[in-house]
Amino acid sequence: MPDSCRHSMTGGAMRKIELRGIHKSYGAEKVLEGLDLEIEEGSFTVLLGPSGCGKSTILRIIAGLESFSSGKLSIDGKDMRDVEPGDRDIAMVFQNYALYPTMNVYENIEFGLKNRQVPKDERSRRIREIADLVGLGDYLKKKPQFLSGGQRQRVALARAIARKPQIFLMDEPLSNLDAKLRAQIRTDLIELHRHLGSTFVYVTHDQVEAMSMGTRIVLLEEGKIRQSAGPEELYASPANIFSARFIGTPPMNIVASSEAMPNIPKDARFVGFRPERAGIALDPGDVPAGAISLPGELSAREMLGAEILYRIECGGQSVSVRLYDNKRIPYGRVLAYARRENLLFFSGDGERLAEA
Amino acid sequence: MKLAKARPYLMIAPAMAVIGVFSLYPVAYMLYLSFFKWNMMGPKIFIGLKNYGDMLSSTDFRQVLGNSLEYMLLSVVAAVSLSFLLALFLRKNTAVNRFLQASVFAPYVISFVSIAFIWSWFMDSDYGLLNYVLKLIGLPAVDWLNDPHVALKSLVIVSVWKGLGFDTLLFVSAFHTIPAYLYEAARLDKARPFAVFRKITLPMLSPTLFFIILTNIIASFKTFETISIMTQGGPLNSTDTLAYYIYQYGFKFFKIGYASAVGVALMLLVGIFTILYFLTLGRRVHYR
Amino acid sequence: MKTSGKAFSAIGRALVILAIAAIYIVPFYWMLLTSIKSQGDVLVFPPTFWVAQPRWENFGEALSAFPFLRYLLNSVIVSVAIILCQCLTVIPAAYAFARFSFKGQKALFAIALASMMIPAQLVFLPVFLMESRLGMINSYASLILPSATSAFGIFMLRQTFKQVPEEVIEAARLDKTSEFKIMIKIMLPIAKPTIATLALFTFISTWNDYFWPLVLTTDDRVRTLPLGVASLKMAENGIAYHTMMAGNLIIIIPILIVFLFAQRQVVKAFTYMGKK
Repeated sequence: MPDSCRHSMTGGAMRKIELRGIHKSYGAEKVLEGLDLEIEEGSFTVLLGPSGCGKSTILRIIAGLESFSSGKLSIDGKDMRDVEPGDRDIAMVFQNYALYPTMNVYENIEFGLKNRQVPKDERSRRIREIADLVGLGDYLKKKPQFLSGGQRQRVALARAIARKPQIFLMDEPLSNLDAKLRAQIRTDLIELHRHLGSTFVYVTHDQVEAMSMGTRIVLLEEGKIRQSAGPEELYASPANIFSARFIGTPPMNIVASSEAMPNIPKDARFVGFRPERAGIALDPGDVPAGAISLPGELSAREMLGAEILYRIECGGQSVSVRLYDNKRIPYGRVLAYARRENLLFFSGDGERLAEA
Repeated sequence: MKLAKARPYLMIAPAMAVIGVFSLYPVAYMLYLSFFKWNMMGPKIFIGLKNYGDMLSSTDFRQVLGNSLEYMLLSVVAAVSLSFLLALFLRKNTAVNRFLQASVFAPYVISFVSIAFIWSWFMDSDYGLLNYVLKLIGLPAVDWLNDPHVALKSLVIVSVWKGLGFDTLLFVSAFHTIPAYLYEAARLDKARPFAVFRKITLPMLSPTLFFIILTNIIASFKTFETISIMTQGGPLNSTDTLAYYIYQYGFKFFKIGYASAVGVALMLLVGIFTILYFLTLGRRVHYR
Repeated sequence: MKTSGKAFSAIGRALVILAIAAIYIVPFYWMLLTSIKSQGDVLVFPPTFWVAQPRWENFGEALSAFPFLRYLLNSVIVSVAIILCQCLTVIPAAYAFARFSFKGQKALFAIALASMMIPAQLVFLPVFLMESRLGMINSYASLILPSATSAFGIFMLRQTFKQVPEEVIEAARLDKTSEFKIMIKIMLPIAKPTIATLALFTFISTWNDYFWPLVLTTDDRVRTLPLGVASLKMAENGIAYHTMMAGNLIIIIPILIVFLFAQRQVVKAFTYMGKK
């Protein structure tokens, strides 16, 4: 648990943001139905999911930029129904940065502080501080149109930090940056979170981002929470097939169960195993005892430096295997196998089965 | 909360008030007046549809209507095709082209009155430069403003000359918005110039084209300055168009009711044309 | 083969350029020339292309034919007043149509658009009657009020306001900005170019407007320049083209100068409109 996570008198982490029974529709289209979500104080909570799953909507509801038809939103225990976005002590970093185009960087950051009657010397002190922290010093006088994407991103971030809010909201802030910049700012954000101790709520569709930054990941699909857990748990113990296949690159292998598989729970319709927990054998004798094996054709081989990624077509199903030795397995008929202890079982409707 | 709800209405109120008082109400008032006989001084006498009857049976009116339609057709066709060709010709951003664009545009900033004067001097039958040039190249002089067969066309020439710059510039900027890669793809596809024009240039320009044709149609019905200054409706009523006709009957003959009826007719005419226009050509506009 | 084709098109192009230049520059040159000739020189055929002795008195005569300074003042007052009124009515209306949603919005906007097609030439009679009943004829107000708003301006400015990304506004709301402040500090600065362009176009059309002043004013005290120019036509012995051209030149030169300076702005305006 992060140091900054406070505990109430009765134990357990304090609830910072609470959504109960939130219903939201755009016209006839239902985006959120009866959503319940708690975000702990001081956490770095990531709302993760494919596009259209409602993650941005949830973020905007917290900010007060979207309304909802029924349900309750509380922050710090207070109902936010009649509270203006500007009064919620929330700062937000938008996907497209949303910088004020006719103001320069300094004025962009200053604007919110001015509106909150922060005195002038305090304002300039904070801005100088932030400028150093985020590395903006050189272009305080420039207007957004003259800045690169990465620089604009920093300005958006600085504007949020300068407010010293309790809650930081971020809506896919890295999606418009190139890969290298993304990786760099990812680390910066993690550091920032530890440094500030505020509650971060971060929206993304990129599971790599989510896994690397979040202390808690809320995985969403079509407006419903499919799993809410820390990254390790999400990876090792997915609650359903959706979670299993959303997390991990390449995703977990899910194959239909068959009679040929030894020791499988009775109601397991699907069997899952991670690519790095699988192996390849050239003939059945090399398959370890108790492991399931899938005969197939080796169709692709990706050399990634520290590892080699294999794809095997097993009668209509594609299985990925990740091996760390350089032994080059030739194309042709092979057997993919996975030991019993590395298997996860799922029922017919995709839910995870408890171990027998 | 109440203020927030009222706010947009308050914000549009001044503009809508002006529109209501100076555009909508006058139209209604004009409709009302068209059923009366009135000379601005005496009492209003209700005569029902008599003004309309007089209007439709008057040869003058029929001539004026014909003039207006002829003027509209000539000016729209000339203005749109010339400005399009000119824009096609001048669309590259060279210094010469920019200079030409500016000179073609210059008449737009000048009062129509001044332009009417300049051209009436130009078109003077005895001493005007146009006839001089014609004589020079061996063609007979034209009685530009005094020949009933020619006068209307002369006025069309003047208004096209004035308005060309504006339309040309709109087309030029529209040309610039066509992405180059469309033409490049067409080259790779071995498209012939006419096909390129039909399939790429024209559709991409269609919103602008639509707009320019529409504004020219409406402008043609508004023609006033040239008639007032150059021909006063003559010779032999050949340049009398609807707007001037209304002016004559309203301000010179003081037949307010009749003038109002003609006004209603003009409005209907413009309205019908606009609706027809939107229904026919409007469908074929390609939006991105 | 190819080079001769190229030469042909180069010559052809040059000819067209010359033709265009001639059609547009010669009239001005001719006007310039006529303005410095004497009446005798003017009414001569074939016309002369150069003047031995420029007759500068023409300009003086033109200026004294009507109360030039008064008319000039009136033109300035009316144009500036109209621009100000338009700003005051158009900006809030465009903002409201762009950023709020309220009952009847679509209908009201459609009405505003439709009014663009109701020209002065159609409504002048009722407007004149209305104004004379209110005793407004022959005052500045009579000229200013009918043009106090611009439906075209509302249309264009609304487009501009709509193009401000929603996110910027949301960021401002999170920055605790009041609606009023949002309009003044964020939307208006973004809309400045459009507003400037609209003001320019309004200025040009108002400055040159002949029709409304003709219909609504008869008194020298409020008449504007185009009417003054029109009065030059009447002269003692036949049409005094020389004074007429001199007078026209005086009126035209200021606006041409403004045009030369504002040229880049105008071209920018057109590129902007072309994108619509």
